[in-house]
Amino acid sequence: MKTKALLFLLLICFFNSCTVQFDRNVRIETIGKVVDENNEPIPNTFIGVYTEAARFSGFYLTSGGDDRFLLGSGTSDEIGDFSIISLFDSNQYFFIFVDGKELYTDYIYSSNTYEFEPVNFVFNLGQVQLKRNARANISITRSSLPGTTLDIIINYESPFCESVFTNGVLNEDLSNCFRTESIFITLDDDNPDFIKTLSSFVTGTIEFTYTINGGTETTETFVINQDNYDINFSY
Amino acid sequence: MTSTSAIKNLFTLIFTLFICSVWSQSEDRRLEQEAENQSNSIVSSGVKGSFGVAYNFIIPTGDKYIGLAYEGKGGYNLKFKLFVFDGIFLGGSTGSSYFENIDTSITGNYNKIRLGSHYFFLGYEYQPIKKLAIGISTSVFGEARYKNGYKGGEDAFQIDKAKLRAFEAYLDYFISPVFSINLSYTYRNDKTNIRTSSNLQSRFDRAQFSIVGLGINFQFGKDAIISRSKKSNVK
Repeated sequence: MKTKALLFLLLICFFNSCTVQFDRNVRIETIGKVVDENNEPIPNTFIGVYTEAARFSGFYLTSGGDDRFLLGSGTSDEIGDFSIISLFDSNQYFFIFVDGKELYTDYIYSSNTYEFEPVNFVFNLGQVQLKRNARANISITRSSLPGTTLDIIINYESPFCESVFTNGVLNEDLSNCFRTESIFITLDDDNPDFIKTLSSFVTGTIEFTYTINGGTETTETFVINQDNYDINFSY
Repeated sequence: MTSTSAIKNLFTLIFTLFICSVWSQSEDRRLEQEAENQSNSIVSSGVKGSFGVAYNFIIPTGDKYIGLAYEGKGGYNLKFKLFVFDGIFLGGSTGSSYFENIDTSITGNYNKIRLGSHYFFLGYEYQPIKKLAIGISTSVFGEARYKNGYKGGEDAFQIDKAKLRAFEAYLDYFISPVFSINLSYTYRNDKTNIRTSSNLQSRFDRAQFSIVGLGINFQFGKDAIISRSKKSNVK
């Protein structure tokens, strides 16, 4: 009876442990090169290797769910090259974050690590192209007579970029890089004007597709060529 | 172990040694004779051997990951040995050493390292004069377990294991027939189980550092397991 009670206590202690253990006896190397939209190297870019490890309290996930852990980090050198040494965490959400900070877009390389170890313990990101962040300031005003209605779709490219790899192969379906986002608006007497700032990047395109009073559909395309790009449109 | 507690431990050890030394010299002749008689009774029979404890100064060396990124933070060990034949002895050691990782870009993101070392050793001791013994030993079987504490919290860690390889030279100064002060130098060249990229393998295949130990030993017994006297008796 005493033995059973002792075993029970030991089990409680074991399952109440909230510590996370990363993979034993493994170091991962993450290599690549960071360049801008003109293929010029970007030095001093932060690269972090992360895992999101599930946290348990007893048999249950904690209310916070997963916790993010930085397994290793470093920066690109003067020619944009980087080689990051990190720990490894299998069976978890594992990703490498290239931080463009304020000036450039970010990049995420994520991989399954469920029964998967990269070949030669290397994640090779190749050439990582970051684009210069831009703000598109859109202003639509009505100059026509009251009663005029504008139906407009604004398509723009998001600065977000995540490449998802499954067993070392790019998974196009799950990846999401510079995806086109859309905004649908109808402007009329109740709401004649529209002002919005969109996050995109230099060289990104913004497309206006619109009809006035249900007439012919027209498309206009703008290419962002500076950090602060203004589009003033009137109907 | 923090540097403060390491210093405290060192002071405690030095203070103990000092008290023992003063005590051994200040006893009057009668007590000395008694002690000697008692000591002689301890050492005059049974298998010759010793057990001891030491505080260790850890000095990372070499061009492997420990030499490049770690700082020693002290440690301790317990040791026993039994003489097999003449000066040849077998023994065992167990202890802990502590490091701080000061360059995580070389190793991955952890900063507090606790090393558990457990091994058996084989050695030879020579006593040129009554009060002094010098010896060398090498590990014959042992395991090292490096527990790497996550930098940024107490709630995560990673383990590296290694086959322990230790080579030691020491000096024992006998204050009395049963008590000695021990000064030792150990070179550790553990063969790690770390798997990493071919680029980094040569950096992680060994864990190299030196240990300078200061401790106390208690001697017991008189004859080696296979002693000359026994051999001559058999003849």
